[in-house]
Amino acid sequence: MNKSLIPLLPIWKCGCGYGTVVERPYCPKCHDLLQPFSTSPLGVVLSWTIIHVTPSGETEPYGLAMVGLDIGINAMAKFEHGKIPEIGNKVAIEIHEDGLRWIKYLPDTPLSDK
Amino acid sequence: MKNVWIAGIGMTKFGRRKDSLEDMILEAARIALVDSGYDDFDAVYVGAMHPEGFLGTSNLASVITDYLGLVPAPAMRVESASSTGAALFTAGFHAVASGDCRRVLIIAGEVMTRVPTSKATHILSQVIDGDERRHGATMPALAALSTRRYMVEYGLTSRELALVAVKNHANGARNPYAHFQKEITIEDVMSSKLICDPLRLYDCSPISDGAAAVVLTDTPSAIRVAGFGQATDLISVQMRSDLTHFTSTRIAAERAFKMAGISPADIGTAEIHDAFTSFEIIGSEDVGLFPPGGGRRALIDGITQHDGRLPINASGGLKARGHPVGTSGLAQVVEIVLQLTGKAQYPHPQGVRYGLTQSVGGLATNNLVTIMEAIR
Repeated sequence: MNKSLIPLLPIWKCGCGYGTVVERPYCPKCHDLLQPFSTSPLGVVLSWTIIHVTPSGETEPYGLAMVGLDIGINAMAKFEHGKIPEIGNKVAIEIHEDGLRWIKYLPDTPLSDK
Repeated sequence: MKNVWIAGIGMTKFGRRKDSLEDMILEAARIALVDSGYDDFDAVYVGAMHPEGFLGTSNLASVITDYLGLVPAPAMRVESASSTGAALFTAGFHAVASGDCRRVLIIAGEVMTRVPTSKATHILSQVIDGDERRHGATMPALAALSTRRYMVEYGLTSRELALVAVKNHANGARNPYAHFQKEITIEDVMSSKLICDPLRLYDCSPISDGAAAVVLTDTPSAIRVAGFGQATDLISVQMRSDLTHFTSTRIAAERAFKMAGISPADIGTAEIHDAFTSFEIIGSEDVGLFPPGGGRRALIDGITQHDGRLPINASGGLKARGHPVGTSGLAQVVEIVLQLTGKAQYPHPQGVRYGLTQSVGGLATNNLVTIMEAIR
């Protein structure tokens, strides 16, 4: 798979090097203004959970993962229940039409047997 | 800064109660008033996390001060999510330590069981970051992400984690104030329904009603407030570098120990914010009682049992005593005072000089540590 086909991930970044996927006005490290930036969507799965007791509106269990992006910041991303990513494996994150970050499995991403 | 002492304590039974929030707060306050021997105060501090959402009530500090017959005492409400009770305690401490007040009454209460569980979950989820909420995160979901990462890094298994719930239920079974007063087994925990994998129902503290009260004074008593610390953290868990430990607790603990002039080795009993079972292990490491990963070992070795070398949550903790969110931080202080004075009705260590509480606000966004000293 040509990894360049995966769109860059929008983040907010500071001149001091701090970055975050969460929109904030100020850098928590140096208090300078954060600027929009794009970065590689590739990272490794740090943790995951399947949410069985869901907040109002959701009836089916769904997955939520924390991904450690290659540039050294963490990003939360959703995944389908039943497609659990193994911790430590490489994945990408892409923004879906719902405006949310979702796990994109790479061709060589093994899934957990759980 | 003046020394601050605890002159009296009061607490209601926790659980699913029929009483109003005001009645529960008044019940706890009256017990503390009688215990202290005082009936007039320079200020009243009231804590509740979200009475607007749970009950549709407001202006709580003035209402309570009126009902207690303490008008025109200055009164205000303090709120820091699920650490409200602990933040309230420090607000009262500042008033007395500064010399501005000689005696203050601090009272926390929360009534959560009037609304359906789905609404309570929704209210509790509002304390987390908006971006994470949009992605479907809930409080237990964020706790689950932290728990699974801890399991990977430190080798904690689900059966080992269940030991926290088993221990705290056994402790709570002997605490007359506790919401849950029945013992459970590892199998009970392992067969309870999944809330947010790997956290099961018995890994989560219950939705409870309850109130607690403390009278603080500048007059020496049996218990001195030796130290406290408070620190915030970034609301979004994604913006933090550490998934398995909470910087806000670490900073709060450092400040508390520095103020008390003691080290974690001096602590003889601790009440740790076990809103989720894994938080007891993580919290015990963050306050410095054990090194990272050492909380798991201490749990397995029985060190944190009520008759172990360092009891944690001898009261049953939030897990079994219950977790009326705005009350828990102050209830922990009440439990430590009961233990240090030998008045706790459940098995607890005897002759301890220093006891510690650790309270978590939100997903570790506003954490506090307090240290109490028994004067003998």
